[in-house]
Amino acid sequence: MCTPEGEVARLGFITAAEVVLGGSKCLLARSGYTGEDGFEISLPAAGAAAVAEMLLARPEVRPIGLGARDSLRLEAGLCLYGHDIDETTTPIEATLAWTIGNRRRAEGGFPGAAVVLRQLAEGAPRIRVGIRPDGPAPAREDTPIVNAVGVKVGRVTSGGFGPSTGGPIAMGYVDRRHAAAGTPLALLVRGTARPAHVVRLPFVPHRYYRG
Amino acid sequence: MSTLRFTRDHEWVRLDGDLAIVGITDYAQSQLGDVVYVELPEIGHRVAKGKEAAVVESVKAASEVYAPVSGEIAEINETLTAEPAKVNADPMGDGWFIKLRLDDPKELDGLMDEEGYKRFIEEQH
Repeated sequence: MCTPEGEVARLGFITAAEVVLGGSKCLLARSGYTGEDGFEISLPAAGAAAVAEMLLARPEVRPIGLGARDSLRLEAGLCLYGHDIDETTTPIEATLAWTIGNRRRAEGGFPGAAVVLRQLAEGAPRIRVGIRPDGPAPAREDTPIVNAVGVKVGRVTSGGFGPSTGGPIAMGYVDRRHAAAGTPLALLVRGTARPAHVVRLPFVPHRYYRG
Repeated sequence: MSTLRFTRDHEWVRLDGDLAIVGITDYAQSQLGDVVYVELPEIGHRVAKGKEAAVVESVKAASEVYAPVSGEIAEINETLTAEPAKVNADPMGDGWFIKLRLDDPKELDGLMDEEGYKRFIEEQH
């Protein structure tokens, strides 16, 4: 049998192994929603506190909360359900066309197929993009996005301060004519138009372990 | 000793001559976490007690800073625009937000003193 250390070190992104940690049998997956290399550990609840304490006892380990997870996933350009994607958005608008396999593209027959296949062929009317405010003011969810002459062209769906980027960042949906990287826009933050521009996602390159 | 008073929204106000200096408390900055942006009103702008006077944003959230007393904005701490982290480092000193020309100094009487504010925070937990 492999030592857990050797086996774990060889795991690639989105693969998993069963290992024993702190006396508990764990499912260890090299996954997560931060854009970084990392692991998600599933184990019986009775052993969870002991494994958490074992990890936290190491000097290089610090606990973080949901706020850090949220800023990391935003910097990685990852969607938060109920915010960046929901029942009113399509995978094509969200630039998640990679989630639709070839068989489904050929055969259809899934919920929303008519709309999704049409958008795959013709393009979506609105697109999820990265937005970088030019000034220091963060633009939060629901901030209206307007074009150069003040006409509304979209809405911020996630926004805040990116600790790794060192400034405000956002993502949201804009009319397809305003979706190209570099397009100048403005964000209506508390009624004031703040200049911004469209940028490519992610804000911080992914660092998944690919082996 | 200058008069120092606190609001239930975690602002502090200190009398400095005929001006009232306003900021957020150490407890408030610790709850917000790293402050990344501060939006200040314009000098000459009038604010009413309990109404929004400024905005403070941390990585976690955007929050309003309410005027503890009514008055006219006499000064703003422009250094916070470039160095918002001063709010975390020295919330009761260099991290002040605005100076108000008070309409009615009696409005301070309705606010908590330091002991009262300490008890108020303890009751929140």
